[in-house]
Amino acid sequence: METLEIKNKNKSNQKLMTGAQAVVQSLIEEGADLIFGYPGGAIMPVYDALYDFEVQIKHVLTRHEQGATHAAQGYARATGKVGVCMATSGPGATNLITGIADAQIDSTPLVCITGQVPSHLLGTDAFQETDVIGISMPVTKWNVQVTKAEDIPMAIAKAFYIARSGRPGPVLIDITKDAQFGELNFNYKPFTGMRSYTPKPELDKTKVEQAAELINQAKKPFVLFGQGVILSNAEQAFKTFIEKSGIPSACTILGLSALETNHYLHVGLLGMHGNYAPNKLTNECDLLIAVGMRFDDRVTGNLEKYANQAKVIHLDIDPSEIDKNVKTDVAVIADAKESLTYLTKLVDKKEHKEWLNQFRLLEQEEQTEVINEELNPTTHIMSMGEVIHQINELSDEKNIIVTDVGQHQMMACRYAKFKQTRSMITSGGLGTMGFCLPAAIGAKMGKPDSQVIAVMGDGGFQMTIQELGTILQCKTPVKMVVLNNEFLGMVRQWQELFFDKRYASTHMVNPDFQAIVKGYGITTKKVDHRADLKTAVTEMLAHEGSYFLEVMVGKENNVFPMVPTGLSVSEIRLK
Amino acid sequence: MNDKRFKLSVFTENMPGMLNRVTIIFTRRKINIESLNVSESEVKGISRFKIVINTSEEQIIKITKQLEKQVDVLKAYYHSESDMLLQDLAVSKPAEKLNLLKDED
Repeated sequence: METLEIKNKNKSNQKLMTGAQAVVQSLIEEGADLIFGYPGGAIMPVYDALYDFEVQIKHVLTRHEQGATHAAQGYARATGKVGVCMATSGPGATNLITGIADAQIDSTPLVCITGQVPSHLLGTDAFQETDVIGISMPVTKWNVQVTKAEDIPMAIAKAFYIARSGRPGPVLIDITKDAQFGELNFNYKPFTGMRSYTPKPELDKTKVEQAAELINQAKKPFVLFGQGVILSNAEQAFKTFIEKSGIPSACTILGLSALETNHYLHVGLLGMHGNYAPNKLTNECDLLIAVGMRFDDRVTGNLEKYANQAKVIHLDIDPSEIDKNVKTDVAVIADAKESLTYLTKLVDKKEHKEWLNQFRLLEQEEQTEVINEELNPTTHIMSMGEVIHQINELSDEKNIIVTDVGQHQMMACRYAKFKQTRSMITSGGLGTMGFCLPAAIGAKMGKPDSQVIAVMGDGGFQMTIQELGTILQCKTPVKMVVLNNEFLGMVRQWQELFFDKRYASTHMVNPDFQAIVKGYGITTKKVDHRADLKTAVTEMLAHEGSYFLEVMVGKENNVFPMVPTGLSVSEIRLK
Repeated sequence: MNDKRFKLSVFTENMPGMLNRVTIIFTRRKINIESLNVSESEVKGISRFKIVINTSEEQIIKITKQLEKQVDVLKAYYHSESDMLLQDLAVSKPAEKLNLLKDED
């Protein structure tokens, strides 16, 4: 290994190298094994240095910088490690912004490295100069511009530390070209902390004790869990907690897969297109226990009519989430694993059979009114739900589902069955169309032994369709499913329900996807009839390399249940 | 509206871009900054921001937390009007011909 050689050659642990080499060496020191990126003028010295390190660190050439960020996100979400992406200055850097904003709102650890024009040209409107520090500031956890070679190792060490610690998030380092060319004595020191930043607030045990008291008194307690459970590796601690306290638990879409779908206390998905029971009973419980979630408006519906009857306990690592949307009675600001572990010790062993049964009864109602028809349609028109159902039936435990944004996403969130953590990767807070294909590539590269299934709509697929080129070049065996309804389905659904069926700009005239995908050397299949679906899904799952399955689904199918905007969660509609 | 006048004291690391990091928190929530002063604090390398805004009690608490959430912010406090000592300073200069573009040699 290069690192060892350097250390052996030089007893003082120092080596003279360029800033560009220091970038690569620092990434290796931080354990990065994959970089997603796209070269260009201002980042060329780093790419030149990467050329010497192809064994230690692999660079994946995406077809667009947005693809690089989403791939890094997919990698980070699947593995729990920091995703790394790289781009040049100007347009390269601005193309990263959507992915960075997505990572910020969904708390995904990313380190983004951008090249910048030489420092003497800063502020002169030089070729490909943009103020990427200014542009990225509102959507990064932290960012910094480096103009001197000797500052590079420290900046990268700090970036990784900030990205992965506390509530994770994206960090951007902008490095001027002269800093990349400059020389330094490389001596890497991992970053261990800074005075202005406390990633893990100390657990206030009295708060946990207050929470336990409320839980022990509650007759109808209800747990809401989010991605915080996954981010703090608290899946087991969470399960132990709910099993001891016997509390029915529902998740946000980013909380999916933190607890296996079939767990006896899992009562489904919260939110606008979530399940009937958890939405209805939010307004009937006497205690809400929110774990690592942030009461997004898609989860709460009308806040004024949200769980007013209930006391609220909020467990979160981020103090700014407390009382942001929903007022809490007890706030526990700490890492979820720590707080849940202590909380479990203090809660009484209980079963809330009758209360749990209330959920199951409403679930039956949803089953008869919505789910049966969605999963086994009585018409000849294929539904999105039945495709997801088919994938569930035919696949094993190592599946990772990656989705895009829209109707198919809600269907995947509602109907896919998750057996292990980090097996659902979707753009939650930002709702970024085009997320799926590159994120699936990143997830597959991070978890090569898992079956990665990308579920997309025909709209979102075309937003980052160029990443088929990445699959071609890297031979990434991603399974792609496009649920084609020739519409921007979710917007069309809203137009049908709230805009008098005025389908403004939602109908899509699509190209021949089969021909396009074949052009990239990927095995494809198109299914128009239900009779062919099972065979096609089986073939896709068994196929060694990448596979593209296009299923023609109902053009005007809707996602139900639904909490229309402005209404309360308990006013959820089944049709 | 229930808007009242509040003063925020924000202590940050002294580095380029901090002013932007702090002010975008107000911009995003469409809150107008009535006055702003940044200077070095008693501790070397730490800046003190003094910011006056009109907003609600509920909002000022959220803003304070958002400020503290910034990695390079050490601490943020808010004070209501009763805790504030407001000072006005008038500086006057006898009128003379102004030439803003040229240096006076």
